[in-house]
Amino acid sequence: MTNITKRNKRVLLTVIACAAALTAFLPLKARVQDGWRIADLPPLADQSHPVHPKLDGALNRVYNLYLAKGLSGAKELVAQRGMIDMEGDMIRAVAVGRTRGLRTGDFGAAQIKFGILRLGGRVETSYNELVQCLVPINALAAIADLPGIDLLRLPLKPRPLAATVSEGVAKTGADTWQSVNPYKTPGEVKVCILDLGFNGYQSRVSEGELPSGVTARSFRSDGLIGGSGTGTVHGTACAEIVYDMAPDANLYLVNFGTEVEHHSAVDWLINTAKVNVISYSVGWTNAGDGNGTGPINEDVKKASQAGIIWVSASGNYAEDHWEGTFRDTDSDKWHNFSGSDEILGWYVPAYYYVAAWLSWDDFGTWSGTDYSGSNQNYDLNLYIWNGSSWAYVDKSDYVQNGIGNDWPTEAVGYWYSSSSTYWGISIKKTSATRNCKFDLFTMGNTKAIEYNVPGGSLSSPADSAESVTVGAADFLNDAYATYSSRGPTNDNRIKPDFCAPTRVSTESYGTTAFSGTSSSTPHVAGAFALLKGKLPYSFAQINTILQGRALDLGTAGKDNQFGIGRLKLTK
Amino acid sequence: MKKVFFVFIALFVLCAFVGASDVIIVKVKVQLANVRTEPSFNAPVVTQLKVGTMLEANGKKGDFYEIAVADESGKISVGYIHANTVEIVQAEGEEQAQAQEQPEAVEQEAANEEAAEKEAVEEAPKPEVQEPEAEVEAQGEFAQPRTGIGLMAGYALPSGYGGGLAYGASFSFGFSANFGIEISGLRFQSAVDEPAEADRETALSKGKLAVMPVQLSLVVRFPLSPSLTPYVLAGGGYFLNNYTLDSGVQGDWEGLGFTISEKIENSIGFHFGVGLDVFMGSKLAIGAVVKYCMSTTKGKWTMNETVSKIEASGELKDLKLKPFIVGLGLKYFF
Repeated sequence: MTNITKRNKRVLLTVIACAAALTAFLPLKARVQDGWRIADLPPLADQSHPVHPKLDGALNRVYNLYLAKGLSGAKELVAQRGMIDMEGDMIRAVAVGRTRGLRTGDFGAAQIKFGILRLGGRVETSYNELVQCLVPINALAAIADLPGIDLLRLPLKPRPLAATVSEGVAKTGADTWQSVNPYKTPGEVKVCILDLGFNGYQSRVSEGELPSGVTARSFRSDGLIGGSGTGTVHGTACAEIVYDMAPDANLYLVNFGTEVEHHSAVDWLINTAKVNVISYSVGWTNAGDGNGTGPINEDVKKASQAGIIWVSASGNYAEDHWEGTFRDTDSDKWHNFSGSDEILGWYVPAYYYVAAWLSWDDFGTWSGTDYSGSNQNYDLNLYIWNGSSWAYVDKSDYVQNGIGNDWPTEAVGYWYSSSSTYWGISIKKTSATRNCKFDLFTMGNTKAIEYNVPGGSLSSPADSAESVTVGAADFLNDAYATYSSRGPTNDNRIKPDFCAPTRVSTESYGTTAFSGTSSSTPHVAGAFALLKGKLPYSFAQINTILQGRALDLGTAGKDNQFGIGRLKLTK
Repeated sequence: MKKVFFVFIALFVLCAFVGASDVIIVKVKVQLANVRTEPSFNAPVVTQLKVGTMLEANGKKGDFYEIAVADESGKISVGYIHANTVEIVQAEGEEQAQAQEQPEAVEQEAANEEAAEKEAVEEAPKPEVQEPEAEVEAQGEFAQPRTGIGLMAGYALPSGYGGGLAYGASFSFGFSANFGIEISGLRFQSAVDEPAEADRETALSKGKLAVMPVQLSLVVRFPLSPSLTPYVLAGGGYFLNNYTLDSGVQGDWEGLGFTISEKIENSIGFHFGVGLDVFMGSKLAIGAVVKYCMSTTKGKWTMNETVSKIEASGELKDLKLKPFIVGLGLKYFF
């Protein structure tokens, strides 16, 4: 009995010792500390490099690396930065023509295309003054120098607004509408799901999850309806929800990969397909100044003017967003997020892509095709927590000097780490005459970022005045989804307009719930299609009807979380 | 006795006019033929002549022959007998030859029989003239103008809508044996099915359509025999239209928070048809008619959303009311 007691004591002591050891080692796992000043960090290795005035920050860095380390050095950086698309030795870029409003086929556009081809590049597609092309790394500067080209930059790229997984069926009362015969309307409604990819849509058709008459069309330069790489079922799942809501609607599955392809797709939807509703579970960051203007919002405006109802996801960035005005309490040109803390951090699991987008309120005037540009020059730096300190990773230092139409945006990414840790950013006032107001969006965090500001976290085109913007509420209990982007817009309009169920079921995502504002959006788009197919009312009137019936949640009346309320079709 | 009297009168008249330049000799061919004071069916009947009575007509006015008749007191006056009730024994133009052949014979015959006839007349009972009119009327005059009323019931088969019971009444007025007018009022109800998708915006929704055409028709009759008169008709009218939405449809929309209503206007319409009157006696007939009506109306629909108080409305256009109406009825002619 005594021996047993002694053995038990030994076991207990061993367990306690192991636990103590583990606890002692735990701080080694990333635990970020606040209060870091940039001056305390080791100087950045490549702070100074030649700046080509017609290359954006990312391409400029690639070209400088090429000059310094050759093609392999440049490709190594590109491989690390998933933000850049490569095919062989060529980078996908957009050449912005000098003449705004240049139409495809105009002599100027042809000149640009010819110049790109002559220098070894390849033209993929174009839209007005924008020419999407593959550019050899060694010809980046030469192509940027072509007469007629204002800027050679990376394409703006959309982000699917699904949470990591998503699924969905709504409890909005749509079923009570589906059996009613249409009243005084032909009932034919065309709905487009404009998305990034439609993997598996043929299977969904054969299973009856999608109607047999769907029209699928890719505006990607590679023609892949599934999307980039191995593709995504994101668009297919959204289409399933639209079909669940409005079984009689004619569905158009249309995908794109870049802004240029986006413009062409929207033109086709307006002029050729003549769709009535667009369900848009895609968001863009750094694609406008947050007041409803910008190239993507311009597409929404065009569609709206053509009588199309455009339903956009508000975004899943409420916990990925920070906004604030530049503040340099220690006069070292680095923004102080709080006290002496000049780095904003967020925790990222292993192998999750990390990125950050920064923009500030100096876009200038939107002409319909471009902003007049910024002369307030700020830069964005990216860091990783190495267990004891922040280590510099990357920077975005596009020069905003008022020459040309420089957008006040910077972006870094996509990086990842093989172990979970913290990542952070800092903002430097490089050359600015005023303290600008910033919007920062991050990627990779599974929880709210440090200094998180949920308000104003809308992506583009959720801020469009012409868009019906949709936030997410749990289908079980109408609980606000904490990630769901909130208004107001930067010109102080309330957004979203509605919230709709999320965390619902789809065949495309199988047993995994379809979450995110991506899943909420097709419920509202489907509701518009359903009611338009049943009622002799205009979309504007149906919008009013839906607003009148929405279940008010949160603050009484329309608010920046739930909008007018949760989608409800019954009286 | 009476018969003898009239035969005498007839022969007397015949003799009196023998030798006249434009006499026509006719013979009564029906059992009883009315002799009227004027050449019209509306004129009073002064006497009746039996089948076989020979008469000398002084001419023809319309459809009537002008003859001389004597009443019981022997007073002779002019009377008229309808052409359909007599057959011509000697037409105009033949009389001279006949008169030349038999003047004396006729005169002698008349003279010889006068006494006996007088006797016979005196002995004759006050005859059939006094008998009930129903027995006397008709048989010879089925082709006369008809004025009467009727009741009809049948089935309406509107093109584009469901069929339904039709019923109504009519009043007909005859200008002549062949022409007349008819005023009728009908009512029928049709089931309206859910419209086709292409027509949904302007067509009636599922419901019931009640139509009451008030019609004026020109009727052309073709009397074939005392018991059969087919006719054709055509005309125009005013359609009193009423539409009621299906209660199930209304209920569905009310459940979703909407009220709906559809109203249609009255309309002008046209029609044509054929019919057959089968007489059972002189005044009562069973009638069968097939009539095709054409009318187009319009209306308005309204939908109200009860939560946000939003109204939508539009026109119901080109609503064609084209019923085939098949009916049977009873008619009574005065």
